[in-house]
Amino acid sequence: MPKALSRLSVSIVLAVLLFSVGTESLAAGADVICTPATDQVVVRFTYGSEKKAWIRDLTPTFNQGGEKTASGKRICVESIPKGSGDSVNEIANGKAGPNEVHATSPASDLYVNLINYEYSQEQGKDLLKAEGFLVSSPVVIAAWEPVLQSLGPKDQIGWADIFEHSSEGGFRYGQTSPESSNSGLSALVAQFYAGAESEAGRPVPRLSLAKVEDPKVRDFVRKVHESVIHYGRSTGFYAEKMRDGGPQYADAVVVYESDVIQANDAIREQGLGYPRLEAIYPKEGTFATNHPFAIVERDWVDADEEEGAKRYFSFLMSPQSQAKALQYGFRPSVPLDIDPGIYGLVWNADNGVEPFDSVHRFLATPGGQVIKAIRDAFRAIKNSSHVVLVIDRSGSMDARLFDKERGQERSRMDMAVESANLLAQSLQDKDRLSLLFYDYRVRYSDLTPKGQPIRMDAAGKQKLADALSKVRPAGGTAMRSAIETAWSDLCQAIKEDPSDRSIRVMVVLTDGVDNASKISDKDLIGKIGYTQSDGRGGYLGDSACKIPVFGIAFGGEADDSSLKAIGAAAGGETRRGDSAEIRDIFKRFSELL
Amino acid sequence: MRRAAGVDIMRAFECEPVFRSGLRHLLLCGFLILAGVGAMDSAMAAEKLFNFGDLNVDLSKVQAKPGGQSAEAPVKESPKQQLPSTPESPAPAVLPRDGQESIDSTVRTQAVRVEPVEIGASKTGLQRILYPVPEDRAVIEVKIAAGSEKKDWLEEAARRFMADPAQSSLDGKPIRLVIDKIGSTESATLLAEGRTMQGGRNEYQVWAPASSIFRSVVEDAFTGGKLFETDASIARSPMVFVTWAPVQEAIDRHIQKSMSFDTIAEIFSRELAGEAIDPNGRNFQFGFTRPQDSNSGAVALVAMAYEFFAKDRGRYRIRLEDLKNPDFQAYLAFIKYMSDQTKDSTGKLAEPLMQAGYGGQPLSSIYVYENLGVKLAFIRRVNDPNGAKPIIRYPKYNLVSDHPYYTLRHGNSREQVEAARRFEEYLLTRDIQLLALQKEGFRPVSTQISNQEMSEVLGEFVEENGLVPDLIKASQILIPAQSGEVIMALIRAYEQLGDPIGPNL
Repeated sequence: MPKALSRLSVSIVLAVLLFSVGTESLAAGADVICTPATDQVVVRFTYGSEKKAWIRDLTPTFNQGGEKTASGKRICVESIPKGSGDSVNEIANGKAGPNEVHATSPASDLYVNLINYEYSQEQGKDLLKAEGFLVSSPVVIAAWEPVLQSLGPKDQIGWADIFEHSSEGGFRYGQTSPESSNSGLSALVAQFYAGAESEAGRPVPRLSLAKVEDPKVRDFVRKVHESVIHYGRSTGFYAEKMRDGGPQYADAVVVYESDVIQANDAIREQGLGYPRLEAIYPKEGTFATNHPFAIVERDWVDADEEEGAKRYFSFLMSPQSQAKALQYGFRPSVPLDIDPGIYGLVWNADNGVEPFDSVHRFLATPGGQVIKAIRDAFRAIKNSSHVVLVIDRSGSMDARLFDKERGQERSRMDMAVESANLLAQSLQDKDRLSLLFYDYRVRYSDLTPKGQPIRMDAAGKQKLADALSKVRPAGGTAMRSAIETAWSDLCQAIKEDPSDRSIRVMVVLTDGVDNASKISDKDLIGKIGYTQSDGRGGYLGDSACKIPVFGIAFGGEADDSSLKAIGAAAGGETRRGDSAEIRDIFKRFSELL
Repeated sequence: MRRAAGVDIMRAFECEPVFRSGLRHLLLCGFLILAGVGAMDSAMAAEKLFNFGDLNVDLSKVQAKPGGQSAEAPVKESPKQQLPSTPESPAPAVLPRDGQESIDSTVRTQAVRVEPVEIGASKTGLQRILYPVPEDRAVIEVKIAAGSEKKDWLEEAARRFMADPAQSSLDGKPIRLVIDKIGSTESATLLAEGRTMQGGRNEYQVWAPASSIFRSVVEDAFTGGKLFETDASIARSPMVFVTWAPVQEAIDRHIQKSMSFDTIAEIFSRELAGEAIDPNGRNFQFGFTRPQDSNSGAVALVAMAYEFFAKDRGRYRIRLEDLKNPDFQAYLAFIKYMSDQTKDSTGKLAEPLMQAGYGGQPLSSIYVYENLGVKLAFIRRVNDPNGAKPIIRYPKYNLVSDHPYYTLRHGNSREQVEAARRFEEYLLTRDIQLLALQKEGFRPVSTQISNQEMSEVLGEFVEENGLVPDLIKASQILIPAQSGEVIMALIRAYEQLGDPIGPNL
């Protein structure tokens, strides 16, 4: 009884605290949140972002259903879309405090196998216990119809063809990071298969550790990654970028069949005017994603939370819920008493996919040990990057805000510097960074003069931190001029050395309204907006310099409309944030690299 | 089997299938059906859904296919004998090369070698049985460690048990049943090593593994009286290979052997030599569960060992000494390397096949319990009636899983043991046995289920999917009981084996 009382007290204190900070920070990233209530058990559920539309559709219905646990508590599910790798890693780290997750559904059991292998090596037991599999959808290469025509007959294209095409240059290939996302990990495993086949000169039925460690196989995979335009945190992110950016954004990306169906639907429904996105089912085989639903095996999951998660799983497996999955392009997991002809309305050529009952080829899923070796190899294999940090040092960056996470007042510049250092920390020795400041004027930091980015080894990171710490805000805001300068210099570098195929991105931070640039939004977009139509059947920008711009609008006064328009036209995105959110936005962008 | 309630109601209102009727009519029908089955608000849902042209899956028409409906058949006289040999249950054909087992030649052909591993008996400390412990809690909790293959059945039975006022309390205290899905090998290890004891009480009151192969491993770890209060078998299911029809037909045509691990090894060997078995050019991918976690994986190892050592020796008991054989270890390593070993439970192994059929997932063939083969066949028939069928084949050397229900005395109260025993009796009642048969495809053990009822359910799968009603005819050789100590040593050895080496690997 004392334990129960103490638990109750903790709950009340937590509820009060949570009210005081607001629900926004409580359920960071949640797309369905629960209003605090007594006699309620909240089940926090993370899931692969590719299922976002389906889960967001269903979860409120479940919560409204008022199901109760055996102990009489009403079950409420908070659903949080997240990259599969991020999700399982956060659970393994176990540092989320009151926001710990009780159940999760990565896109496939690749990550479940991997994390259970790692966790059992350390703790002697599994971390995740799969209750079952929600839906399925194969991993595919999504390419625009004209790109497909240049590659050859759809059923004759394989991973190796894409990779060979990539290594020839001029081909814009995209995939998520294998460290945070299932589709990226699937693509990486497929690349190792292709490398092993290339090395052996014949099909390889299974991947061994020896093959993964073979330097020649690794060289093959490294070559593929030279074509990666940038990585991404989740498949949903990449699918959205492909859909919103159109053919200029990338030629081919690795996503799920369901993403292709949804993208083509959006292209038609929103009249985007893009050609069809085609799903290539690689001839060597691909991976099936089976979306396991797993309960977390950690001591923060109590009996009510476990029962709540199981009830929610049963709800997702109900025929009604499963039928809704069909409409988002997922294959159901339970028998549905529907006209089989319905499948033909989803799985058809207009949606860029093969018929529902097509026989696909699949690669064998390696065990946890081999997957771990592949993922661990990624750091050394991934493409190098050159990032230009474009930082606003206008006078308004001196404004002081309360940093909730740090519990103290700090200037915007202090927070921006901290976030920029966080981004730098995620870079590797082989990556480079340029630091460009702007107020009324635009100037490179003395540390990185024009055309001389600094390497992000340990010494480089320290020098960057020193340079950032000396910045003193003053003056106005010439953001567009700064972007133009950064773009022109990057573009010049690309043209001077076409053999350098590093990922190049620009990260722009502003906290005010542009009041000092000589170039207008329109002219700047005309110069750099490579994903925006020119109205004459072509695109704006310079086809040799497709450099994505990712923007951060810091604080309520920041003019994000200009930055948003620029970012959207230049293949990136802009996010608004304040205080601690800035760190998350920088982290999000760091995962592109 | 009955049609689902929603469909019956749909017919009552003369609703046409979705594509033959107008949208308005469809929504009207949907509304009426929803009222009948209490499903979701489809009109609201439809607004939020993607619009795929004319597609509008009327959720009200979507119902689970039947399978778990309660029985309506009257109780019939008990048959004198379960599963008799009948003309309707022909034995599978003996194929031309059935006498040509060639595991050793496969190992030789592929020149497979592996770093040898040590073989030894495990030393588990003896635990003294602690019984009874005092019952001082308000709820009598019965937690059942059950294999995944029985989870759905046991959960439904537990739900009904707890809803029945005549069953659900003991001495005025409510009984709470919890089904914990856990692999049988894992649960056996936890019990034998005393790792289910917390604060002087046992986490589990019932151990319900898929088969009794580990009974002696657990029992031998205890002293001081009877460990199990009850040990009845609650269902039966033999092991089967389930293979998609195009692949099975190709195996029959090219390999010409009944399904066994020898046959699987030969297929792997041929594929490594460049021969494609699958007519659609897919890799042959075979899966069985991890033996260190799951009973069916452990049974697979026993079958492999029996095929290797005892194919000509009749009722052979495999010895620890046998497991040191380098060729055997190379063979095990070869199978381990070439097979899918990513699943820790048999249910999880079969589910992706149920989900995605032949064409939508990688596995060509799996080694599972018969009931999962039946369930797979049923689901695929419903979701993709024109797609490839799963074919059930009984291994040439087989074990029948007897699904024992062990009521544990150690670390439990008299009340818990009594409640667990009461649930066992409930599981053996006609209704719940029928549930196991109709919903999960298990062969019931109760004599209250007639052969006619059995054939009403399983008969559907004889012609199309290869189910053999007569277990005696199904497999050519039944593997005799093996030592638990040897089985555990076999599992440990398998776990330690690294990747094999060979010119084609």
